[in-house]
Amino acid sequence: MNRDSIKNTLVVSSLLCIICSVLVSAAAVGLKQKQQLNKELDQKKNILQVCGIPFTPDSINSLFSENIQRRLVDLRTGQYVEETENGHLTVNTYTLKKGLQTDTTNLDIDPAGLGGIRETHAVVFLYAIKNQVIIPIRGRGLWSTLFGYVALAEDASTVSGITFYQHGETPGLGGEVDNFDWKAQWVGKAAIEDGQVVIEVKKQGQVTDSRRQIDGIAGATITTQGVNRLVRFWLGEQGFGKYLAQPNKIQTTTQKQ
Amino acid sequence: MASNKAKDVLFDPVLKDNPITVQVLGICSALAVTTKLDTSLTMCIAVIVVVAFSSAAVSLIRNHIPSSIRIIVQMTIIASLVIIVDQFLKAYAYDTSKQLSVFVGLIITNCIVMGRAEGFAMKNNPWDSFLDGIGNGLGYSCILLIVAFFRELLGSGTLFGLQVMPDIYATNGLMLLSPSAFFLIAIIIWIVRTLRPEQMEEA
Repeated sequence: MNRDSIKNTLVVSSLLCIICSVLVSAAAVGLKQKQQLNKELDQKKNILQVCGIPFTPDSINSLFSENIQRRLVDLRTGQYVEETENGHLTVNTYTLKKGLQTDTTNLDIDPAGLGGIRETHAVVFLYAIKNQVIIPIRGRGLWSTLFGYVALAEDASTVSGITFYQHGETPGLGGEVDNFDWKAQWVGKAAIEDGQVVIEVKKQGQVTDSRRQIDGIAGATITTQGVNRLVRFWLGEQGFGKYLAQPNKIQTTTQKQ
Repeated sequence: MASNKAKDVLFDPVLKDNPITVQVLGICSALAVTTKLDTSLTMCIAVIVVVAFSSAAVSLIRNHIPSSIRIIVQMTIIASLVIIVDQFLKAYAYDTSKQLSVFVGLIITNCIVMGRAEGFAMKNNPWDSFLDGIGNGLGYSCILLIVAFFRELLGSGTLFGLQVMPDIYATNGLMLLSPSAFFLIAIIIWIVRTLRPEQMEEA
């Protein structure tokens, strides 16, 4: 058969596509479970990091279960709940993916770029020893949605840490949201005062109020603006605002148990 | 004779015909991933695997590839291999793969891989192509590891994450930024071409 004929071209390209897709899918499906475990471990690691708990790769799981409690929050009321109303998800089974499938609220304004909806419930983490609450945050940067956590003092007055565990921003520019020095700037900044979100990320070099403002990343204006909007969104009324305004978030939990 | 040829195919690209210093290919990832030795090492292994197996696979079907779509066929093979390697890294070296981020995926566009598939594998048998792929991967790795060694040593004072420089050494932040890799690669090319004047290009 002439190898440059149309027939041969079609045969070779179809065969190649089938073989390659089988190999790629086999690798993706076969390794999925292990990748999922890595992802969960990485999230726990990020939470430990944001709380400032030192860890080694082997101690992540044990440190996490000793120090950190999971709680499910109804974002509409700010109260702890045991399960979502339709009863499908409890604090132990809730994941963001499942929440977005069955349990969503439409947003009138969507500054964080979440596609007009957000989950109605969310899992927060409590670190009782340091009186910290850790809330999940996410939102659009330049190329991707950033996923992370913010740790706050129990009364939500100050930030005690921030981390992003997943994003697709440009390495070296927007990707510098992972930079330790940049994240260290957030520690101790005022988050909410008198019910108003006061923390703000400014363009690089334009900080005028160092108690409330974060210096943005040079060369990553759009990512930085995205981080600003998403942090303010999740701290605000549409996000965890009602929950963060509750008194005694940690004590009520410990009493219950 | 046959074994001599295999040896040449394997080791020529490391010194004599190094893809980075002589052909100046694959510079993008050499700049991006060389701030630390362990990320560079992972990247090197990934590139060696991809270039070796893609060359072998292309060579295996070289007599059936219609010339009108040969570049697309090569790209498909390379892209599939890169995705498989990326999946393995995510499963077995999650932290490193997170640090490498897009650069594993960008092996697809690394000119070395394409260059060997088009320039060597289309004309030679699978075994030679496989060795040629490993050789070129090693040549690339060699330079990457040399660059990463100096960048990590001078930029962070560590090697493979272990402190080696005394505490009084002030780390040089420039070495962690991409331009330093340009300087280092240029110095390496300078040294190699001084030692081997036959590699110099006509001015």
